[in-house]
Amino acid sequence: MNPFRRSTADNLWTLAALVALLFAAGCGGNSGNTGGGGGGGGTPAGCVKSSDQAVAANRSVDKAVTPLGAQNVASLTIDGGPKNNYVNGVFTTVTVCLPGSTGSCQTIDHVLVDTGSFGLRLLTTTGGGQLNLASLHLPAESDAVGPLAECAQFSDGITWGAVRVADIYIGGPTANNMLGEKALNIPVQVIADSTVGSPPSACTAFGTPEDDISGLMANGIIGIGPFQQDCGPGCVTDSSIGLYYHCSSGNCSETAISLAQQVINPIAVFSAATSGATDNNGSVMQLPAVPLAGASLVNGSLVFGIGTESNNGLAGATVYTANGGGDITTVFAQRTLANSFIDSGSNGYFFLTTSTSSIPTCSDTSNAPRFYCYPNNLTCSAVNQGANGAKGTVTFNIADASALVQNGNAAYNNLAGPNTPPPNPGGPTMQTGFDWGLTFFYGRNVFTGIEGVPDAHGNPQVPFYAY
Amino acid sequence: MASNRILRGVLASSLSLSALTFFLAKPARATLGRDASSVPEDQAHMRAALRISRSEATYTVHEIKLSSGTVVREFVSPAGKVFGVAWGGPWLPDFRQLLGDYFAPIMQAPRDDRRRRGALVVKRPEVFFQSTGHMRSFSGRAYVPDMLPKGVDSGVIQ
Repeated sequence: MNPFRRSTADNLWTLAALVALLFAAGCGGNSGNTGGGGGGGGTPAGCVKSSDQAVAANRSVDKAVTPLGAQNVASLTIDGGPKNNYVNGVFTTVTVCLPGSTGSCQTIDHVLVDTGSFGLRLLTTTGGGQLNLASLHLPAESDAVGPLAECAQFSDGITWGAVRVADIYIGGPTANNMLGEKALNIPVQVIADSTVGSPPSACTAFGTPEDDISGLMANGIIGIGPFQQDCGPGCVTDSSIGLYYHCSSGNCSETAISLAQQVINPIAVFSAATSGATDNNGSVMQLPAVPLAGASLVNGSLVFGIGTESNNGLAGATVYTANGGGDITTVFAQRTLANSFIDSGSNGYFFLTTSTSSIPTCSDTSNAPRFYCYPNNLTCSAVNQGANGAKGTVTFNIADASALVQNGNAAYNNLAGPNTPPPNPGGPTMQTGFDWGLTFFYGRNVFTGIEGVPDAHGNPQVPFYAY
Repeated sequence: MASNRILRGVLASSLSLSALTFFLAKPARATLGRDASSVPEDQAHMRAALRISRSEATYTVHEIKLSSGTVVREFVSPAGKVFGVAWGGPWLPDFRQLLGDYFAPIMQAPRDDRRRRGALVVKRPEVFFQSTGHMRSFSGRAYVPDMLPKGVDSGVIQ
């Protein structure tokens, strides 16, 4: 048993006390809304120094995890990743087959589950991953010029690789993906694929390639965020976005590409399940709560479909609809951050900057550079708002990252770091947000609804999160 | 903080004077750390249109919009240097063009075994870079601390 577990009644009482504390903190003291330097020693706005309260906040949500076994449930694992160096990386296993074949297949583990991207990307054995193209020769997509390639954009780098077609199986009983959900004949990105060479300069202009196991730290990424294609209509008409390329004699240049050819969120194209339902409108990530000191191993479930089966209902979760970019609004420390997002592929809470949050950043020579290092544990509070007007308070913990990670655990619910500054009153403002990374998912059931796919009542969905 | 107070004063006065104005005469080149020249090389390279510019007492902001929908702003000092750039929109801008001589050091900065995944922060003595967001919604900024005009807080670069 874990020493942090308390009864629900305890949790409610302590949470009530905590909310009162946060409210008091917000109304008194340093209520300045310009957030200058913060001076030495003050408690950061939106937060209180915590001890017992943090424990309560940690346990205030602890939703059940659906057991593995059903066709629409896949495993989630947080174990440090294939190189045992990945903090808060959440992985699943997928089986990849030649289109139309159930015999020519490979099973790939440690595929990062990412609600911040769309589409399946797999790293070849050439790049240190597991997909062996020599034995599983997935057909390439091509146009009149030659094979198609993609330069996928992430906030911290790019992945370059060929677009190939595969049948994908995931979930199901007894860890046999072939009995799980299936997405047939879908475009996927194959990273470190010699047929399209190394990334052209037009691609590396967007960031540092993460095209090997040390850069990607995973054998692939399964993007299950709230959109279908990784680009969408923009790339159908505009090659200058720089996502898609066609290659000839080793030279790859930007091209426009149809929606059908774009790398796609596999969930959106799931075939009908044996239940008769089609679990293609989204998913639920379910992870148990973890102690404040973290955990070396966490297991959870990824349940496909929302309201399509007996095991994936919203069950009272609040729906926060997102805007056209997949963002919601977070209000934190009196700042309105209109481009916030819930991203299992980020490994902490990332928000504001040291000068605007008054939370120091760990030194460059520490073991947690560019995370937050406040000398006490903090318990903080923010309000999420959907485009649909839904509102809800989130209470979360922040530890001194440098001290925290010394124990070498793989999963922490209290890692945080700086992001970008809040809107600048009176000057030009750029979109900015609160990145709710995997830390947010522990103890919750987090639903991600995919735009344009019919909901359980047959109506096309807008992109949304729910928890 | 004194500098904040001064900055607020500057912004308040310039806002009342300078609403957003279309800037047609001398489009600028948005490469960090370089002179803002009259050559529209950057817009040509990024296939973008200059939309607006605005002048504060201590710096000028030029804004261009890429065909992808992403907005890029450059911040030019009274000395004519691009001391900061910021971007926001569905897709990333061409950083090689935007960051100029700072592109290589930013992209090659060590990532510490990539312990941090998500928003990217690169802090070097000569340049500061922050990139956040996700497919279909990115934003970020970069600036050269030594080129910040006197009294200008880096928080304005966005």
